[in-house]
Amino acid sequence: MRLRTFILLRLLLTIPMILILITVVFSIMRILPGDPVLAVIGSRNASEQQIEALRHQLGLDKPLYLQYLGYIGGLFRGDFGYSMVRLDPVTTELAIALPATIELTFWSMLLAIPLGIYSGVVAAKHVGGKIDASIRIGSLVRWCVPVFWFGLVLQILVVQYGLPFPIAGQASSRMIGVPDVTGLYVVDAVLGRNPQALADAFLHLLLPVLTLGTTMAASITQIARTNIIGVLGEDYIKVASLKGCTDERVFQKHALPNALIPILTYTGLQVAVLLQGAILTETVFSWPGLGRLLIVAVGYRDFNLIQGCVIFFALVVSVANLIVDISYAMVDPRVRL
Amino acid sequence: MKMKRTYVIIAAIVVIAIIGASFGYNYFLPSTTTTTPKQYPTIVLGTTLDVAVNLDPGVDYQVGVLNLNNIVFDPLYEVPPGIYPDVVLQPRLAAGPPVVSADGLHWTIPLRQNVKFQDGTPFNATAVKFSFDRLSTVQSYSAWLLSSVASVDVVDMYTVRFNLNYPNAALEGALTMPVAGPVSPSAVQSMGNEKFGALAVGTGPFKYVEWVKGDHVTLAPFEDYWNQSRVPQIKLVYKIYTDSAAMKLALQKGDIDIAWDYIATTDYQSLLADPNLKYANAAEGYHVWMTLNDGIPGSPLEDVNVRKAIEFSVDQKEISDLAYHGLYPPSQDTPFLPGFYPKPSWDQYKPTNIAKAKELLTAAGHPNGIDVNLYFTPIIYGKEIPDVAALLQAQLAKAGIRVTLNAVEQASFVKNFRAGNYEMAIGIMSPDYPDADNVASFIASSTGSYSKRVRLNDTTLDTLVQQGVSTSDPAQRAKIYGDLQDRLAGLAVYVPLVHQANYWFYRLASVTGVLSYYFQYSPWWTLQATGQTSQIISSELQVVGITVTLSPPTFKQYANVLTSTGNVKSTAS
Repeated sequence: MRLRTFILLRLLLTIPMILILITVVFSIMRILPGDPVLAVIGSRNASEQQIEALRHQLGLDKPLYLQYLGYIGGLFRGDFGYSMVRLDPVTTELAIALPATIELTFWSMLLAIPLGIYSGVVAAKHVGGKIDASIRIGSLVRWCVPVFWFGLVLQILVVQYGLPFPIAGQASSRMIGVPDVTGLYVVDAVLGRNPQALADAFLHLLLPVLTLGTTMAASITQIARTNIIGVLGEDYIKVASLKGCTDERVFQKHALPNALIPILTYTGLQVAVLLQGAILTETVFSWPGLGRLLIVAVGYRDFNLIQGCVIFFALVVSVANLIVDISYAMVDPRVRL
Repeated sequence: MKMKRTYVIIAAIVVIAIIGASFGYNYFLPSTTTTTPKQYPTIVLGTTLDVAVNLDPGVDYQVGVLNLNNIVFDPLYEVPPGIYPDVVLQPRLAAGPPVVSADGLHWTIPLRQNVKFQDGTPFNATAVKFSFDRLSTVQSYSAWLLSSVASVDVVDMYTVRFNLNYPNAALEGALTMPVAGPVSPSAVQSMGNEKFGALAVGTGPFKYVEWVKGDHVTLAPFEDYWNQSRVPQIKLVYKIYTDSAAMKLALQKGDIDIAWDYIATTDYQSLLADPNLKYANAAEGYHVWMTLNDGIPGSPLEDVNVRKAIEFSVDQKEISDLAYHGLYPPSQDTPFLPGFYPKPSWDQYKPTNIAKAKELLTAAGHPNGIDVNLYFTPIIYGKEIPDVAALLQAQLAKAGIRVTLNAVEQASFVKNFRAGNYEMAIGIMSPDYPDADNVASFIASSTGSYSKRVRLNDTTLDTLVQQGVSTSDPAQRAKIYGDLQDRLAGLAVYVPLVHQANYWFYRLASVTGVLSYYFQYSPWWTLQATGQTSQIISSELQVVGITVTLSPPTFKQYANVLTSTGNVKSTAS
């Protein structure tokens, strides 16, 4: 199969995948008790008639199949609908929350990749020894510890020991003079030429990035170690040694580059895990990103916003997997068959 | 060769670092400005109450936004600090009390003059009419509060007439709500409803400056506010947290100055012991209570003697002490708030009496006890609710009432509770506006949404509710609502448990002026940075001659005041 055909086929397969996902989410949310009107006003004193009038305004009194078809039809026109609680377009809500998630995940990956690879390399170089065992146990423990628990512990430690790190939020409430250009606070602080805001943005990133980044680093460590050990056992490594190359040169020039490709591929595939971790991290640290938006939307049964978030997450994971598959297909034609 | 290459690399790094540092220094060099706007100290108020919908007073109806809109919008009337035997609302944007026609269907209200909106446009009768008319054009979660109003007419530039669908003595109370706070027509027309909801414009002492969804709302003083004694001296940041534990840590750390709603009572102990913090509190008339459904076929609760047995079995003090650490006072009180014709009708169930409960059960034909289900949801009514449920189960067991506990997810709970599907449930009784009818129509009328939760359908109560709202004479209303409370208590469908409390914890070093009123939206215009010397607090309380006390009474003292009719004094600290 030609590469172009392969790519086209993968892209087309994404459509039914998203459709199935949306149908499942749509059905589950409608089956679950509650709706946006009850969630916002249900515990208050409004009468049933008043609540029904609000439901009618949102179109929730229409038959389910009409609601479903209307929503799917809108999707094909690029219309994700309006948030049933916030009354803004879903795309607006996603656009507002997205920069915070990008900022968190970007810096987390920036920590996770070098930390994970370096730890894996050190472990592989000392395979079977105490250092290797320490790194393996440490990464395993970190991987197993729930993200939200780790975050809470960090918060408590900061307060307990009076450390000068913020424990929640994306920026100090007292910060002034920072323009809202990109929504990425680090970038906006640079654009606003505000060193205090820049420092404040980094300080606020510290705990969430430590929480999410070390989780990712733990899994990268395990993969890196395994891959490097596997590559070190290959024949061409033995040949390089026999040719007279030093151990360091064999490692740097031959082993590491070959081991890195699957490591980076794995990292790309971890996008889904990263997004899941971001949801929990954003909740613990009151970080106003997509993950927290989804949690709030579920709590308020904001059907359109939930569906919009799910579609977005699904698209991100699909694109990430597609890039990985295409890169594999470019390198190895057997994958296209 | 290798050494030479190493030196070259080091030299390159040093050069790049020097260039980068000098570029960064020059880039971030602060620029001079010719004008400096007035700087206000910033007070950060932490809360877990997010802005669910938006900041439009005609749309959102969540507790957090109601408190924000109370300081950004002026309703026509307001509840004065402190509650007296008969609450008399005082004008805010109105210039005097309403003149009500003989048939009760037309309310003529004079308006305050020389008032501006925060965008500089003038406030007048046209703005009031515009604000009311637009409620039917937006997705409003609060418009139902004014459902008795059919239309609003402009009589002259500073007089409006509300035309009602039916006589409603409670309208003045409803006009204290932010939904009745006029909005700037100019701002709505230029921004559109969607953008207006993001930065709504009113006449109040604060104005909205910024709303970062999910993170914070920033408010600044409106320096041209008509009541200069209420112009704030701070910039206020309403900081939103997803969890009260993180908010508590933020307060202890100093990231925020005030921790407001909602803090679990389990977190109070460490805050009360912190020497850097102080608190202000007002015991509110709002109840946490248990409902007993008298309309489920086949349920033992259909018999009023069984329901009374349950009333006698509950030990409110134990619930207060164990579930709420004594911080929410126990209640066997009427849901009618002090100042709104309260009567001690629930005194008949004092004290806890297990023997009496067993006697009633036997009389009802259940000498061996009964089996019932109790439903609750752990989040929206407080983290203590599961403990309350467990205590109730243990207490009722002493009388032979075997309770099965059912913890239900929030949305499912709200739906089934409203539908009257629960035999017994734990909820809260929270009035919307300051009038006895708001309680009566809600919990006693057969069409009231709380009455439906217990399937209450009593024609005598319906008649009393109708009489109470149709009569404006205070003495007559007191008699009507007194009879209503007697009958309602006798039907035993509501079991009060504790009074909710509104605790504010704040840092002594950074903020003063924290006033916590009884049945009041928070008067955040009184907040000041420590060291500020404005007279805003004393001027606020001089309106009704309240004495400022330096130390708020303990909760138990306050609870004693609450349970008796008469003056309830607010406190300041």
